[in-house]
Amino acid sequence: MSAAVTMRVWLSLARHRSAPGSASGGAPGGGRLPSVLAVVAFAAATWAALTVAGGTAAFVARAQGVPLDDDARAYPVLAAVSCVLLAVPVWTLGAAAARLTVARRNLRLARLRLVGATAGQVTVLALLDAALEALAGAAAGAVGWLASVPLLARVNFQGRPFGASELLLPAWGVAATVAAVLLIALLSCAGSLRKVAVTPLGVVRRVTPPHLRLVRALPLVVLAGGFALGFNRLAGLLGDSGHRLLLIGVVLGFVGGAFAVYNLVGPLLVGLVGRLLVRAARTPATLLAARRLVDDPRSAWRGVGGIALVTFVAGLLSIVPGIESGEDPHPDPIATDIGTGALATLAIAALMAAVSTGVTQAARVLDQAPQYRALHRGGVDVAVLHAARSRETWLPLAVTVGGAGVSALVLISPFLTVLRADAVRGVGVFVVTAVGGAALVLVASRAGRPLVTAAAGTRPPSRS
Amino acid sequence: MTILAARGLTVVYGSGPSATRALDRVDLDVGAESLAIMGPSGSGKTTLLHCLAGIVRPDAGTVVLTPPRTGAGVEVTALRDAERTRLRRSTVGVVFQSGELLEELPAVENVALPLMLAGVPRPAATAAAAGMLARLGLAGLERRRSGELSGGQAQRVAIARALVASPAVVVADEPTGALDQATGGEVLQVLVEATRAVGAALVVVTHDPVVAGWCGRTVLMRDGRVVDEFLRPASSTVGSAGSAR
Repeated sequence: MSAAVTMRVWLSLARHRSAPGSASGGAPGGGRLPSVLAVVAFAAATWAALTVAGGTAAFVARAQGVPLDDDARAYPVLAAVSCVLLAVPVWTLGAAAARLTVARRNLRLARLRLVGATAGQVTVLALLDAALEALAGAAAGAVGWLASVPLLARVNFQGRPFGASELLLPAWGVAATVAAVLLIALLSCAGSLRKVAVTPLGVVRRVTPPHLRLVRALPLVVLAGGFALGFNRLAGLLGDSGHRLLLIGVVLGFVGGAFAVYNLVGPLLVGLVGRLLVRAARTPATLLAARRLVDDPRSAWRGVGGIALVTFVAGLLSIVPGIESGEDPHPDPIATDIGTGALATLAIAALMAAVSTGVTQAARVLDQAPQYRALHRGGVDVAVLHAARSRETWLPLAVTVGGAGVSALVLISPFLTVLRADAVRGVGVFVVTAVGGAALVLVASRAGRPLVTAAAGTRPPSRS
Repeated sequence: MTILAARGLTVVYGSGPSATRALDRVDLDVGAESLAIMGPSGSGKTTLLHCLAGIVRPDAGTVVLTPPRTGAGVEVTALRDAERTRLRRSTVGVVFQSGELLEELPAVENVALPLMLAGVPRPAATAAAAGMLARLGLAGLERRRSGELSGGQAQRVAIARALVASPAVVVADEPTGALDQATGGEVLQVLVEATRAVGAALVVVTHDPVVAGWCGRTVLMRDGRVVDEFLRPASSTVGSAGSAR
């Protein structure tokens, strides 16, 4: 079949899929919910990306208006920090949505192979499916962003609220953001398909996931070592306003590096915890959860990575109130704005993490639907399936949130020595954020229960 | 002794003019024997199996399960879903066409799972599972996962999982459908002999006469009804199944 034929096949399938009464790719218990979830996830990612990009553009425009003001020039840098902080959650969310798109297509892709489609053609069909949902989500996200601009414009920065016109991106900026979301969707979808073999008899994993190697922890050691070496110089620079931009740049570098390292080490930690739990497990639910963590720690990490990063960010920003109150009776406006920006960043990141967790969990349930059904038919209570999934979420959550908290505390420890003790307020923000983020993840995880119940459904799939 | 007694089983899919009667007042008794349910696609054989195993509750009719161990009959169709689930766990072993092993668990843990669910401590459950695997010729493969087993080996593990809790009934839905003929024959021999060894009833759904030939009795279904029944001479059934082929 040529590309044109592939496109015609896809259009035909898409038309039939959208017809009333059609199922969603044969996903057991899936219905239309996975499509809705994927579109919502893409919409949330697009909204966050446009909001952050609009804010950054506004700060850049303001800085250009007052070229000699050092503080004003710092705002775009701070906005860039926010962009770095949110880049990973936004990427993770987009990627999770793309994986969800692929997860429930397995049966349909296999059937297409059965009737003669090549592996390349089913890949193209899956990519087109992902692109369609990403486009729908991006459009919804852009509309949502437009609707929220008046609300966002109420936030005060630099002593005055934003004008709506400041936050609105030009058309090319919106188009570029939508294109970025589409790119994330296509790359993640292609990555998911690379890990399976779509054969006419079904979709099978190409390989058992290999064990993660300890070498993943090496960058963490390098980063920690570099930070320890720069400890004194960094602490000395804090009180020198002339070096503020340099300090921000250094912190930005460390934040970006820590993010990357945390994503490398996270799955390793999850896998180690899984191994320990396999040995200690006494109940079927714990054993199942532990084995799943060992089997695919990367997937488990993706489910909770978002909230871990939020916790990490909250830990880093917990010193902001300390800077704000400092020893100066008249707080520096930029310090106040950093606090405001931190809260805004946290709010967006927490939202991304919750949606990401919900979507990731939904994709995993759909992937494991045949096993859920077989277990239930074999006499496993649905409650045990829920318990296993809950532990599968809780266990890595506890490890990663704990790990993120410790990492953040290590990173901010130099500043704690030079700040006053009233940084307690910042620690309070940190604790509230960590608990709130974990609660959001659990709520998002619980939202997947109907999918589990449907996957374990007692009605037979055929009438034979 | 009758282990499973079904009376007037009726299952209807859909409603209104498009409603389909998958089972139409089916009566069936199953003792400590091997029974094959045959029929063309859409004849209702899988639906009947699911009703007998308590996986599906029929729209009308009853299924009474009387485990030989207790001798006390339980009306499966009167139980709620959670109660039927518990009953399946303790009394019914299920074998699927493709095994449906949990791919993240090694073979021994797949087999130990039903025992752990029944409250057996993990060390004891693991030991019993290893013993069952050894009985089915899988000694040495305990730590392998389903992806590291051949189709026949994986299906033997599924049989071990179905039998490890000493069920009163084993139900199997096209248990050799995903295997080649030679491997399928070996798996059937294991299934029939091992089920007989634990004194359980075996109900196999199949469209393959060769598979049915391993069972002592065959019922033929069409349009949701049992339309015929065949008994095989004792010399050519369980225990000497090879000669029945």
